[in-house]
Amino acid sequence: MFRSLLVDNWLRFFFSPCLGALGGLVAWALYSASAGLIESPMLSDASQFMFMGFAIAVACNLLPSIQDGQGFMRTWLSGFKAGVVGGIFGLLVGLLIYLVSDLADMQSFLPRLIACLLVGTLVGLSSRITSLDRYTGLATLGGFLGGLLAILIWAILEMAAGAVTTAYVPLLVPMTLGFGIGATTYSLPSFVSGGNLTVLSGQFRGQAKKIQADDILIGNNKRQLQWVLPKWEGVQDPHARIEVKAEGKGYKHTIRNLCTKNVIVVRDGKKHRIKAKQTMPLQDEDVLVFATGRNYVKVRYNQNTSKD
Amino acid sequence: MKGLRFAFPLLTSLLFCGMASAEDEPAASEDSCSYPTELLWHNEQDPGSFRLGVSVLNQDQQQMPGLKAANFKVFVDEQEVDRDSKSFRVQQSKNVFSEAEAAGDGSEAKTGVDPVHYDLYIAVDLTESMAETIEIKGQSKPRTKINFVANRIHELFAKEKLFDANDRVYLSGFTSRLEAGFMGETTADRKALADGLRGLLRFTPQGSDAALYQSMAFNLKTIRDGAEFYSGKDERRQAVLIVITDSFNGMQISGKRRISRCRDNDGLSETIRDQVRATTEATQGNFKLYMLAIGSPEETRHYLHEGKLSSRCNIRSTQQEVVDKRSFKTITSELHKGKGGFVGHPDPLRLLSVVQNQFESLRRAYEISYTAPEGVTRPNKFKVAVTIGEETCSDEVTEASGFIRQAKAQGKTKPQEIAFLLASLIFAFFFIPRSFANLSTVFSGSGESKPSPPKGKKKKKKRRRK
Repeated sequence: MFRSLLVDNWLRFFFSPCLGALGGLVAWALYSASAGLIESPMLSDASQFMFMGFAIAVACNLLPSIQDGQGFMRTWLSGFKAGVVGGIFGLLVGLLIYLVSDLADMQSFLPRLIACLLVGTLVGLSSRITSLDRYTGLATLGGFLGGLLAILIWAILEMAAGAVTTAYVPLLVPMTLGFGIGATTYSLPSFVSGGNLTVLSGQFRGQAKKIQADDILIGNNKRQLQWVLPKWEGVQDPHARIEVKAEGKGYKHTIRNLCTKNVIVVRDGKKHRIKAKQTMPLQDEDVLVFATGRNYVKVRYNQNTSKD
Repeated sequence: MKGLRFAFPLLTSLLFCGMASAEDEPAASEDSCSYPTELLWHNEQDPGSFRLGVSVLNQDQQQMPGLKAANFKVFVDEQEVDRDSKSFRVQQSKNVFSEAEAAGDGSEAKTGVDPVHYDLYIAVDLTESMAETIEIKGQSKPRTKINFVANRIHELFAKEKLFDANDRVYLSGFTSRLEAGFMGETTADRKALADGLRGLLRFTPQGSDAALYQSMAFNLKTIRDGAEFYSGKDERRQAVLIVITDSFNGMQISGKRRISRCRDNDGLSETIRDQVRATTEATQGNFKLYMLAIGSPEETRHYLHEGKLSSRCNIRSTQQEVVDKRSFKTITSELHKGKGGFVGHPDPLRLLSVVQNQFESLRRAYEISYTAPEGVTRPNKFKVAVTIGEETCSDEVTEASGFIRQAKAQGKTKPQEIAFLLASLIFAFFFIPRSFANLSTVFSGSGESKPSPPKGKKKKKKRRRK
C-alpha cells in the first residue's frame, strides 16, 4: 500500500526526511515513557541518545526496502538491524555527551553542533555498517550532513519562533535530527550508484531502483527477491537478474533472463529478445520489457558510473 | 508495501506512551512534612534569570494560600538565592499548573484541581434597597444590585471553572422574613440553580427590615443538621455560607419582631457568632462564612464600629448610608484564617470576586522569579524550601540532560498534543504525491496507459460472429 504512494512526483523525495522526523517523534515518546523509570542522570542522558539513534536509524532504513517492494518482515528486520547499531552508537554518544557536558555548555551553538554531527554520523554509519562497502562511507557522510542540516533547522526554528521552539524542544530536536539524517543518508549513496532502473509503466511508474555493488534479482516474490514488481503485471518468480561486474572504477551491468517468457531489451528502437537463461550486456537508456502480451512492465536502465 | 500499515498503530501506540519529557528527576519529597512541597518545573527566563513553579499543599491537599517571599528559600547548585534582591518575587499564579502540563509534567496530583468539594449556602438580601439601580465601571449598562448579584452567582458555577459537578448549592433569600422557596434542597443540579436564580430575579424586593439573622440561623442550622457530610473521612467536603446584603439586620432572630435601634443588634450578633462557632465545631472546622456587605463600611455620627452605640442610631436611616461592619465583624470574629470573613464594598461584583479569588487561590501554585547567585552560570540543581510556622518543607530537582534542557513551557498545548499533530501531518503528507498524481490524471483525461489487447484476437472474434 505504502509503496504505491511513492509515485513519480518530486514530493516523494520528502518521504525519507519525513520518516526520519517520525522516527524522532518515536524517539521522544520512547524516552518520555522510560524517563520515569530511570533515576540516574547519566543513564537518562545516555538513553535519550540511544532512543534517538535507534528510532531514527530504524525510520531512515525502512524506505529503501519499501521502495524495492520487500515484505513486511524483511523491511522491519533491515530497519531494526540498523536501529540496534544506531541505538548502540547513540548510547555511546549519550555517555560521551554526559561526560563532557560539565566542561561545555550544551546550550551553546558549537557543542550542540558537535553533538548533532556525532549522532548523525553514527546513525548514517549504522545504516551501512553491516555491508562495509564503498557506500558505507557515503552513508556516514550523509549522516554527518544530516546532523548539520538538523542543527541548521533547529537554529532557524529558534530564530523564527523561539518561544514555541523552546517550549517543545524535547520533541523538536529528535525530529529535526531525524529529518536531516533522513534527507541525506538515503539520498547521498543513490547519487553515486552504478546505475538505476526506473519503472515506466504500471502501478509503480516513476519508482527507481539503484544498482549498487550487488546483483539484483527481479521478480514477484517479496520474501526473497531484491526488486519486486507486481505479479499482475506479468512478472514471474524470479524473472530476471541484473548482474553487476566491477570494471575499473565503475561497474558493468548485464541482464539474464531467469523465466520461461522472453525479456525484451529495446535499444535504439530495435527489440532484442533474450531467451531463457541467456544474457545481454546493458547500455545506457536501454528499455527493458519484463513479460510480454497484455500485461508487462517497462523499465528504463541508466548507467551512471561507467558508460565505456 | 504494507510496512506502514503496521507501522501506524505501532507509532501511535508509542506516541500514546509519550509521558513527561522528564529531563528532570525530582528528588523524593519529604512525605512526613505537614505542607507537602513540590518543585513542579524550572526554566530560564533570560540568561541568569530563572522561574520556578512550586506547589505547597495544606492539610486538605489544597494549595496553601497567602505565602510570601519570606516563606521561601531557593537554592541553585546548593547556593542560596538572595531573597532581598528586587528580582526575587513570589506570587500565586494560575499558569503554574498549565506550564507544568505543557512541559509534559501533568500527573494528577499536579493539575491544580481542588480536592475539596463544597456545599454552598447562599443567602441574598431581597429588601427594597437591593432593587436600586447602580452603575459599575466596566459594565455595559446600569442594573439593579440583585441583578448583578444573580448574574455573578451564575458565572461562579458556569462551565465548572470554579465549582464543579461535585459541588452543591442552596439558594435562599430574606426580606422581613425568610424566603426559602427558590430551591428545594442543596443540590448539584445546575438547572435547579438556574431556576432558583430566575426566581430570584423575578422576585419583587420588598420592605426595609431585613430578617438577616433569621436567614443566617436557618442556614447554619441546616449545615449543623448535615454535619456528618462535612466531618466524614471518605470525602473532603466543606460547607460555605455566603451572605450578600446591603442592610442591617432589622428583625429578631426568630423573625417575629422588628428591631429599630442599631445597638439591638449587638446582642443578636453575639448569638449568631455563637451559632457560627457551634457550626464550625459540628463540622470539625469544615465551615466557611463570607459576610458580603454592599455599601460603604464606614462610620456615621451615631453609628460607630467600636464602643457603645448611641440610642439615636436608627437602623432604617443608618442602613441607607453604611453597612453594619460592627455586627458583621463580631459574627466573623472567631473564624480561623482562610475560613471566610467580612468584606464591605459598594460594588457587589467585587465582593463576589473576593470569594472567587479565595477559592481560586486554593488551586493556584506559586511562581518564584529570581536571579541566579553570582558565579553560578550553568546550574542544574534547584531546591526550594518553604517555612510555615516552625516547619520547613522542601523539594529539589536535578537537571539530567545538558543537551536538551527543560522546556520553558510557555505554551498551553501539551507536548503530546503537538506530537500527535506533527505525526498526523506527516502521515497526511505521505498521501499528497499520490493525490496529485491522481488529480493530474483526472484533469488531463488520460488514465494510466494500459496495453491495448492484441489485434489478432479481435479479428478472431469477428470471424466467429460471421
